[in-house]
Amino acid sequence: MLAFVARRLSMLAATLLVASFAIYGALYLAPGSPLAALTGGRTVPPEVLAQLEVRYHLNEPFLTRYWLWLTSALRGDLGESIPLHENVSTLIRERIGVTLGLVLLTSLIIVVVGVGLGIIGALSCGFIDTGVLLVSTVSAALPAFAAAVLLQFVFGVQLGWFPVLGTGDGFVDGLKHLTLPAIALAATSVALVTRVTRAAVREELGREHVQTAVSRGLPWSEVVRRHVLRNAAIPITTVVGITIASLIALAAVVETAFGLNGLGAYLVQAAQNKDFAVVQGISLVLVFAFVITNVVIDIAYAVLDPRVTLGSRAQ
Amino acid sequence: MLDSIAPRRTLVGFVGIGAAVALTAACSGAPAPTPSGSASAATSKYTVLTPAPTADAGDVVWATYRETQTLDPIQAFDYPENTIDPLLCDSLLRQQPDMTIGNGIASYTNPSPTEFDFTLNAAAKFWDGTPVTSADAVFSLKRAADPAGGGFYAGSFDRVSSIEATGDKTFKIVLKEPDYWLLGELSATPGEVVQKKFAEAKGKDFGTVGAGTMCSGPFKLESWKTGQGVKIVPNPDYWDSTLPKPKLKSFTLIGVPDDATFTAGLKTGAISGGYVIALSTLGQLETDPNVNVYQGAPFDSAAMVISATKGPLADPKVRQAVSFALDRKGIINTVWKGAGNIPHALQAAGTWGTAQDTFQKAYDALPALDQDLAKAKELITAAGVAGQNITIGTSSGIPALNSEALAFKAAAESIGLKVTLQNVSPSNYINYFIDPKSWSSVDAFATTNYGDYADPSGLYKTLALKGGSQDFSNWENADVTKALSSARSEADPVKRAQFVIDAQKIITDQLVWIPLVAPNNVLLMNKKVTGAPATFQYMFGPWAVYLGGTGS
Repeated sequence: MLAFVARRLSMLAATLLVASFAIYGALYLAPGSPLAALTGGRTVPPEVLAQLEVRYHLNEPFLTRYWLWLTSALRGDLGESIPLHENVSTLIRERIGVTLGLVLLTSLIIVVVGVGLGIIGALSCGFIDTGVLLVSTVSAALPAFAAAVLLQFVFGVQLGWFPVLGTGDGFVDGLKHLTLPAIALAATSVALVTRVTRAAVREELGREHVQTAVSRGLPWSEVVRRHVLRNAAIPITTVVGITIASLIALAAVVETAFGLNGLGAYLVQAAQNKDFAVVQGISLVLVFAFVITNVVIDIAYAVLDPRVTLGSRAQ
Repeated sequence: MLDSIAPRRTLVGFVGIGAAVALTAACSGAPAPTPSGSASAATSKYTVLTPAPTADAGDVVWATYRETQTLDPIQAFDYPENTIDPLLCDSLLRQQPDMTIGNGIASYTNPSPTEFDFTLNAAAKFWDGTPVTSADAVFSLKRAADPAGGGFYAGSFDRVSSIEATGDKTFKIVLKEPDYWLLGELSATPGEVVQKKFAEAKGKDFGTVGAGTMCSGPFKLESWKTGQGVKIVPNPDYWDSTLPKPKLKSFTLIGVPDDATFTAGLKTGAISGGYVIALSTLGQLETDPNVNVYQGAPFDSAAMVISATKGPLADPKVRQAVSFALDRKGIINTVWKGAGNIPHALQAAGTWGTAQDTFQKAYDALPALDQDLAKAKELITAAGVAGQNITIGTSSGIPALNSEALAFKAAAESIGLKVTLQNVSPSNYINYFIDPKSWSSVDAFATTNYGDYADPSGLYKTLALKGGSQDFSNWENADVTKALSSARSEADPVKRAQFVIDAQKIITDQLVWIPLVAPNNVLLMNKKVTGAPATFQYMFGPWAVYLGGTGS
């Protein structure tokens, strides 16, 4: 276990380093200038531009700039946003709560609704199964940005059940504000998880050991719980894990649509502004979250299936 | 230094939503405001102030296309900063809702053409209770005028030779040459007075989210968190009792990049109001029972910048031909949702801060730039450039500007020119305005542009004078140079206007830029709030003091 954790930690460090270089390089090569965000796109005299370039080290070569960023990041200073003049650590701290809340609520919806519908669909037939298929097809065809507009207008503007904007104060109010965004974000993923769950459970149902268990006269609920679901859990966990890990980045769309002050929305904005320090900071948080989620999934495999040992390699 | 490409609502991922809504909104075809009343006053067909508030509005949430980045007046250079900053800080002179200039925190005399003597209002005090002194004013102006000060307005002070305090409340600006355009600058953010002690203590951090600001304005900074907006509250000890007291508890300016979000927020009241530019959902909001739409006089100018120094578009006859071929009505309906006018010149009613009648007469005397295909064909045949190629710079990621570029392309092709589009990413579009290599690689590109203050010269000086910050085609004309220079040195507002009009006539005839639309200044408010001016004052003056509730 300890060796597993140590190996994963060193992998995490290496991933972060490579990712930071790749992201910095990609941003450097991308078109545009961070100064455009400062001037609102208006024309400024060349002398003023030159001065700003010196102030933000934009005139230095790529490697020098990356090295400047890396050394101060290692000292714990993630740098400063150019247009906002704010420390990146502060920026992340103020936004991570919203994104975390959104991702947790969305994950809950994906797991409960997605896995739930999948199991129901697999175990039943006829119109219930068709219904599940229909629901998952519709929700798969509903990208988050379209779902956001739809939910906003139906449940926010027309029915007035939920607020359309902002994060709210306190837990209950916050939950109310996050409900529509979470549903919008979950829509496509729910469909995916439903389909995978349904297929995995169906496959297990047809396996010999399940047939044997049934023919031995074991109660149906026990067969499902011990022989079907347990074995179907591995592919379901995999797809749920990958879906959740990618939510943080996907959250950008609904965060912008619902005016939520989250990491994703700000990452998009910062990338468009070529705001180096912010893009680096938030991206590293995303990479970190992705790696950690994968570790959790690996541990979950071992818990779900005793045949899996932590850190084992394919023979 | 006065242009804007107005790159609002360009988030690449969300263009799809805007476009989808735009299609439905375009069908409803919002009508332009119908003229009413006499045409004698320049702004009579447009709203100046909306109905006065009758109740307290409570917590007001106002939206702009992105969040505020700084509260430093010398770096206020775009819609969000210009919307909030004049509410916190007083300028020496004050831009009023009807766009005329009055006394601000100071009044002035003009003992000789090259001297302005300013006297600060004796009652003026900062939020911390200390009086506003000439030391603060001189410090603020020198900061704005210093090319190394990190601000964007130093160029506007190029005729200033000294700024010195002459007493505790008085100071003198001495000029190298007479400069009456400076008064316009001093009525906007470059003329704002900040507290010297505070600004010096904060140094480079002054005006940032961490350090804040210290001013004397009708609102005080309450809190500012990036992503959650700038929250300000009425200043209970405000020194100027001639301004109304804002009927609201707090005012928060937030950034809302997405048209659909803005629309939903406004309908539900989560957003109280906002000033918008080419909003794709304007049509459906005009018929919404919870929203009021007001249209003020046009200040922004939608135009095609001509950067060609050779080829067909370098010939004024060809520019006139393309201009006659343009379907401006189509642009007004699709891009501006009806909230705009066929221009007679680049600068329309909203920019006339002085001598409004004189400007109005001159504007009416210029022909409206209506479509006339027969004339267009006649001109293009005479120029003999049929079949030649022009290149237009555009970005399909900025829908409004791209639609205008496409309309321009259609016009040019309809009279026999060949058109190549150079499509760049939204973030690269700025290069047409700042990088000589970029602007010389194309012949024209679209813009939504505005000047620093309420006078047509504010924009004309940037594009029609040699060395002007937006003179991309190196256009120059001795008569225009002479007229604008005379205007700058002329004390009498009517005579000054006359000089600007002389220049305007040539600039319009030669089509240095080709005007596309004179878009109205559109103000949207949820029916719970009212009172805000519908004019461009919101970019220069203390506009939100007029804001309050309707009690509904």
